[in-house]
Amino acid sequence: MNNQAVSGLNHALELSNSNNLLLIFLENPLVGVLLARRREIIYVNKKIVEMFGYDAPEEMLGNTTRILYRSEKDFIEIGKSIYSSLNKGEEARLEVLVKRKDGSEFWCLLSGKSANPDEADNADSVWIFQDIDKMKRQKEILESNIYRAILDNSLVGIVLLQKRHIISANKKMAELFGYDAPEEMLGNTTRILYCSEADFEEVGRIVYSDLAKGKESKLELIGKRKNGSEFWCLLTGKSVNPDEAGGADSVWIYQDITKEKEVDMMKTDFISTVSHELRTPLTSILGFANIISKKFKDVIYPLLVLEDKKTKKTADQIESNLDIIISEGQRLTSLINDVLDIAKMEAGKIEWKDERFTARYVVEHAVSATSSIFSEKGLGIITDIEDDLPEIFADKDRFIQVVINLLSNAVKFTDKGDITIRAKSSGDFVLISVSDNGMGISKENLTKIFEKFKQVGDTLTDKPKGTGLGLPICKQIVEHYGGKIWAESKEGEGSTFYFTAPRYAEKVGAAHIKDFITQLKNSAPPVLNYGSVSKNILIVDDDESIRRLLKQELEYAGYIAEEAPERLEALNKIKRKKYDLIILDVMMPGLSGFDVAKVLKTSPDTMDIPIIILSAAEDKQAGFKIGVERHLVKGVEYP
Amino acid sequence: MPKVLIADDEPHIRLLMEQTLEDLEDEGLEILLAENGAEALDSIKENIPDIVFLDVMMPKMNGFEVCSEVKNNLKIPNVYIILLTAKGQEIDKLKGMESGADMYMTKPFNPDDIVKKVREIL
Repeated sequence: MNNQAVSGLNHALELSNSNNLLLIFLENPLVGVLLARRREIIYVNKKIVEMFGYDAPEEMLGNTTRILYRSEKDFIEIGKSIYSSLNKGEEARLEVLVKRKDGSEFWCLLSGKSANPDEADNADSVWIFQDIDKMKRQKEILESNIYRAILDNSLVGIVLLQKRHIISANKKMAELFGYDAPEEMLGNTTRILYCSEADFEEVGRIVYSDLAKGKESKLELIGKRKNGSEFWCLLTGKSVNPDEAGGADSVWIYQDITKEKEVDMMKTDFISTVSHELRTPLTSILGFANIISKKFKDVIYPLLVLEDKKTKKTADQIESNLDIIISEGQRLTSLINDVLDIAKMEAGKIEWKDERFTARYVVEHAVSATSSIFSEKGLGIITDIEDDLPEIFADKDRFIQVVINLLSNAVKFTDKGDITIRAKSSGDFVLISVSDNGMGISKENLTKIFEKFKQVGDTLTDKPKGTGLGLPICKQIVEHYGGKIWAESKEGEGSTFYFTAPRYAEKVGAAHIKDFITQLKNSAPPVLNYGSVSKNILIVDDDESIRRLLKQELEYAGYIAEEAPERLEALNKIKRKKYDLIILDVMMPGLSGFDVAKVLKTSPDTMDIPIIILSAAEDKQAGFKIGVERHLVKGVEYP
Repeated sequence: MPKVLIADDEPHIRLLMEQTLEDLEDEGLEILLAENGAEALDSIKENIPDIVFLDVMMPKMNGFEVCSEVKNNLKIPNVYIILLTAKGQEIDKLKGMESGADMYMTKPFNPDDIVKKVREIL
């Protein structure tokens, strides 16, 4: 259509009756209709004129649709997406923020199509405009209200951070930290939530490396309120844009866990009180029974007139009664130990002392500890340990406990023959098994036996000896290290109990030590100025090769280095000499490096000595909580 | 003359320990008793015993505090301190270490072990 034709159309429409329907459509009050040719407005209906705040169609005709857009940018950008659809002969449909004559903006739903897609020109398009402004704004308000309701009523504190600045906080957050309103917190960095600058920095270091990787970060720490009071909180956070700027924008959830910490402490106190209350009278009972028994045997018995049958009978009875009291007392002690063990394990209160040891060591110690029950029943023990088994890294005594348990059970349920204990390598684990030719276990009981207080045997006729806790305790120990424990059996033929123990994995290489020394020299040079005494460093690590390597490298770098292979020796050395720096291995026998660090940091004599912790594991938070200066992850990262 | 101090608030336990060390008493060992932490500390200061058996849970001053006072503050030499406890917590072993104790034993204990240890130390 050419311009003349268009105005002719307008004119004709106004006049023609036969085109009433078309007229009614075009002049309807509901939608705006616009015809464009190469983005030039060639027709607009009354509604368009009204929507866009013009006085008459003529004002708009001849202009490009640019007048409808907010900016040149919008005109070009939106135009691009519209015309790419149109050129394909498709309908374009989108929500656009458009501009009236007076400059005010409103939301419109646009749908349009090419009027003549077949023509090479493809210049004409017809457009329907619908004002959706009210609806859109209402939707926005509704959404905003919903979010607001969620945030305001949340039972946890929620904050949105940008480069550690609080840009949004909900009511609960203000409540948790003792502020009158969230607005008070805005604009500050999260420093206001921490007890110290050191805390603020350490946590930042720990947390932002996880966030940048898109990982969720979770930690417990002591937070500080507006009034300075402190409380335990649990933080969970995630970056909203990990790909940009290293996770600088993040959202965090804060929870007050004061109650949980209290309950935790109550559990600990309860367990230790029960332990104390039960063991104290038992100590008296067993102790005195032992003394009486000894005195009777050594002093009284020899003095008795044993020819008198009645006297002898009474004396023998007294002796055996005393033995019963003693053995029952010991049984009670075992029971208390077992019950407390399992209670502690379930409460997560066991302190595991991890170290390197061989399967052979565990097997040999367990066998020797149970040798008496084997000989009592006349049973034999066969050991079959594979050569070159990898070492195990775990709590040695606990694993001996497991094997002793399995051996005792085997003896309990076997009447003759031998019991075999095997150890072999199995992937990342060491597999240990105890086999017997005893009465076996029925299918239903194979998993039941690992439940607390469930023992095989009829409770009326087969009075079970023992606590019924042995296998559940074994299960807790094995599973703590990610292993499995299970049994295979055939009733009447025998059973085999299997469990897996974690292999020891290599920790560090020489190259990393060189890097570490370089870093150390940069931050804490060996000699302050010419002529002053070299700095003294103590290396605490159970691994001899690492100790030697560190010592060599440190001395070569100009430091004076001493070694200590384990914690007690280290503490003794520290008592006697003032070191400038202590390098502590976390995975050491006996108490872990963290426990030693704790001791040093809480004692006034040693709390000022800087400590560097070496570990292959990511225990940074634990180290930070005690106040360790720097935490090096062996062979992986550096401060 | 070698001296051993037994500090425990439970009279039965004090009696038990005394009886356990009876034979050694016949051989010339002097046995001293204390009912609470404060008494124990005074006794240690006055008598300088060779060995001290300290129960950790005592009124007035607990075993850890007495041990720490003797080892870390007063630094009295040549006193072998054995902490006795019915508590089953490993964290107490750490506390024991911090306080400077020489040894840590859990109750119930075998009387033979006690005798053996005392003979060993003296």
